[in-house]
Amino acid sequence: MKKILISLSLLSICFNVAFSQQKNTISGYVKDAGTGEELIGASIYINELKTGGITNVYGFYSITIPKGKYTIEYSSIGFLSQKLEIDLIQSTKKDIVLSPTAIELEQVVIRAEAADKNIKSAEMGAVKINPKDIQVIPVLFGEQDILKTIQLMPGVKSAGEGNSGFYVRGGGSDQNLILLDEAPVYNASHLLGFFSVFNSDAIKDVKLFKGNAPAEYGGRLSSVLDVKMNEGNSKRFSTSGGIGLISSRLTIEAPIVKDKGSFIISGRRTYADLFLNFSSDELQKNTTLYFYDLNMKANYRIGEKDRIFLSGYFGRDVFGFSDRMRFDWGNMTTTLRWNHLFNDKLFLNSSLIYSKYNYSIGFSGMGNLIDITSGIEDFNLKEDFQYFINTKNTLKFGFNSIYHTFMPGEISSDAEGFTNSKIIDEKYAIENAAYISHKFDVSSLLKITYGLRYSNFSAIGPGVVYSYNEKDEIIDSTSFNKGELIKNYGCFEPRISASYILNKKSSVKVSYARNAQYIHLLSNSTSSSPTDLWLPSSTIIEPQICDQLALGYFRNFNNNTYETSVEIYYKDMQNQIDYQNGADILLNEKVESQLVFGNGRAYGIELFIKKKTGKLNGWIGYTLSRTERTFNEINEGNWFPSKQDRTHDVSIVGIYNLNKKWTFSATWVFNTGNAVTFPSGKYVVDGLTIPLYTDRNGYRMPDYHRLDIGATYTNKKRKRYESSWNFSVYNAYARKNAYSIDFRENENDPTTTEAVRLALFQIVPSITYNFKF
Amino acid sequence: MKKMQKRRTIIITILSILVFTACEDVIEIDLDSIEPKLVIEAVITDQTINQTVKLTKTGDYFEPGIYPAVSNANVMMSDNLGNSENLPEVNPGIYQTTHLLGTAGVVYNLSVEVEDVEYTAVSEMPVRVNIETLSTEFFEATPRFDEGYFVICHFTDPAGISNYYRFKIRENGVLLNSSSDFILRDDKIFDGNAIQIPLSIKTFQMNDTVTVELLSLNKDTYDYYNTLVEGSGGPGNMMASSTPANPVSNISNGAMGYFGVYTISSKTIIVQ
Repeated sequence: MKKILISLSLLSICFNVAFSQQKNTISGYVKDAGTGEELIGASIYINELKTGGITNVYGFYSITIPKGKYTIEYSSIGFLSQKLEIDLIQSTKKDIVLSPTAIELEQVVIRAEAADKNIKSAEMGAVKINPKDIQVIPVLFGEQDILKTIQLMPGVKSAGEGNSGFYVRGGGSDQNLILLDEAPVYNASHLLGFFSVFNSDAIKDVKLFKGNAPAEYGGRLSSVLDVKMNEGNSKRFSTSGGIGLISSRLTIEAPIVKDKGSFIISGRRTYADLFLNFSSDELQKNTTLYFYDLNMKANYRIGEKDRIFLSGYFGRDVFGFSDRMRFDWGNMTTTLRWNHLFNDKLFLNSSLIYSKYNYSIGFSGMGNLIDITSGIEDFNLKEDFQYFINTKNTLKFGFNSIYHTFMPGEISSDAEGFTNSKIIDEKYAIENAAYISHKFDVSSLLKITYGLRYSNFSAIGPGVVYSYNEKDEIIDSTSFNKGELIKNYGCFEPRISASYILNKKSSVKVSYARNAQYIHLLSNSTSSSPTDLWLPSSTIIEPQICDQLALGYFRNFNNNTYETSVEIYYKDMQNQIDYQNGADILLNEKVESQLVFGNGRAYGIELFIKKKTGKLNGWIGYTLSRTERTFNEINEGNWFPSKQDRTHDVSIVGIYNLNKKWTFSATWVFNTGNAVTFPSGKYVVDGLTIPLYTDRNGYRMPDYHRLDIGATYTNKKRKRYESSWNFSVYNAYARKNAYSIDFRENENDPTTTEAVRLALFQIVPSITYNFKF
Repeated sequence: MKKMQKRRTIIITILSILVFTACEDVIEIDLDSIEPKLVIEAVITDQTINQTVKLTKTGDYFEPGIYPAVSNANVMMSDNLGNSENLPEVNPGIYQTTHLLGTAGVVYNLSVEVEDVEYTAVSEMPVRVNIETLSTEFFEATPRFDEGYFVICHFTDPAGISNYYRFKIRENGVLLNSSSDFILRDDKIFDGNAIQIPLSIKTFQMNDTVTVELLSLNKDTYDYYNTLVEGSGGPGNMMASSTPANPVSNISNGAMGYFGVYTISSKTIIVQ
């Protein structure tokens, strides 16, 4: 901590402008007039100085400027902006409330504010999504899903048909850090990926960094998806919800003490299985299949300077068949946060975070009960300081300490002498990181955010560490006591991004980031699976390291109505993990001997054009990219395209606001098929026809494309009751996209072999009723 | 293997509930033509003195299943006790010993010379494990199985060593032999136990005659079968392993196939 403060003061000396004039600070919170919720990223613009700032993730802002009379404009997307005339003779605290714009006003509101933020900010490779803005975009089964909307952005690709898993710039889905109120979510999908764990009713704000996140984030290679939960209406009791084909949602929010504290509880449950009870088919009748989510959050303002938040998420999938089999899995997160203002310039957030993912499979048969469990659990402490030095300089610094417990697998059995109970030893690790980041507006044209993160990982005892020979046989084992260091890794992770404004309409940006990832997901299926296994770095598994360099050109047209950008990136990845052929990851204490290690590289260009206002708005994204891996043991050590590799990727989103009642929308996506391994030859052994494979990922799945259409009908608002109907059709022209291709013998003529395509969703209509009062 | 079947069941059930519009169809795909490779299928068991080696070549994937026999090869088997035998070609591509009986604990060598390339493999005969008895258990219908009887195989796993098993099942004399009929087990979770393995690939009906062969494998042969099953699941198939690959073979020089050495214990039951 001391070190950080020292470097902080050094930085201040190096970069601070001399305080020649007397300066005062204006600070406070910006809130939503309707709900009392703090607004993230609202902009504060001082007309006279042509400068300003934005609110942080807690809605707090602080701007230090010379004494004087100013007109300050507060604004945020979706809200009417507000002007404040102020004579700043002393440091002042000013909380501002902004009124939401009604939809019909949307076209006339001048968003002077952040309309050109994309040009001016040093940030690049970042995508921000407000769940309210995506409500009208058509989705599978009508289930709004931020993870699926994010996949419509350039550089972000879907992990598969209807899947909420995503790949960012050629990285794997396990290389995304997914945070829900700062708590890592280890498995963000329900029902094998068809739904994400994020109930959009409970979500306030979503931000995705495509690999060049600022120094306060770390721990994953590819991206950071930072999801913030709603805080709850602090003005009045309010209820909202939705009734859909697959699931229903209900949210209740209310003040604890008006304007001082509030809470929100939001739940969602699928009920496809309830219909199964009515099924005449005995099999379906006995099948259980559902998931649920529960989001809860409460906050309370203790005084002017302190505020606490408690948030939690609990979700579970359950799949079972009568009393014979039960398989359930899910996440649980809890975050306790304390915001403290030391003074009007120094803001501290302390967080205590708990996060857990686990699954359990139970079988009963022939009088025996067998239960298999596995999971990961984290305790996490975070201290994040934000120091608003002046309009040109903001410092962020802090540290983060995580205690990981890995539970690779356990089988318990009450059947003595039949199946042995077995526990693969738990593994323990401590992951620490400290960072400092400086946002520095060098001039009105040049803006830089740079920082350094140092991360450190210690695998600790108790535990037994094995070493293996070439045949994967254990040749040696070492025992470690509780708390004893097994292996330590550290990494300096520099981050920098800069923008240079060419003129009012355009800018160029550059960024470089290094990221280290110390925990690794072992998954032997293409899509996310509940039985995926997280493992720590160890004597055998080294941390994954990625360096990413990106360049961008940003230009706006027609008075910021159109935003366009071109970004190119190159990524170099070390210590990537793959399996040996035939690897067994379930209940295997020798799992580390089944892995192979290699390198990866990814590069591409992303084009983006967005129309932000008007009756017709939306965007077009295009990505041309390549991502490859090399392993000594695979493909004779030659580079091969990884499964995320899709040469072309196009997304088009259009939203048309016809009138107050009707909004129409459509999305169209296209991508080159994934790189896959198909057989080239075949032969017979033991009477079985066996495919003969040549190059790893040497073939392509067929091209994928799909059109979804949607319409939203908003009923007339009656008193406080608002409601709308949402209609959508997924895959409107019934393209038979291959979910999988099976190569097999023809059933009638086993001497011939054929390729069989499984296509999942063709013309899936859905209807959802949403309400709020 | 077990895990894969489980996942497949789960996925199929979920899909059948969620997806009203899923469909399967045969499609055209262009696959490269490849240079034929040698396939060696060599087995030594404790049940015969006529051990067989079969040599064929691979064909292109969408060509009709014609696999040319490889004749005039030099095939030799030997063991670590100093015995060796040249295998004469008894039929095109089929080579056989005349007096080699597989014995537990003996290490066998295989050498095949074709077109001036020598392919070799080494494999050890594992400890023989006998089926003690077979029984049946009634099972209600599930998404995967019809109502009927599972056959359960009872045997005692030798303690303190790693054992690997394959079960082969004959239903009324017909071998169930597709990749989904493979039942492979290691003793990871039942080392040293008197164990009952439900042969849960199929339910049988009253009066069916079911013959079970318990093969005691060494690790190489087990790995070969295991990876063979995963690889044949089909690529681009989320239910199989993510990247299909050729089975892990114990034969040198890139020949397909394997040199399997195992014991066989066999019992028959009539479902009643």
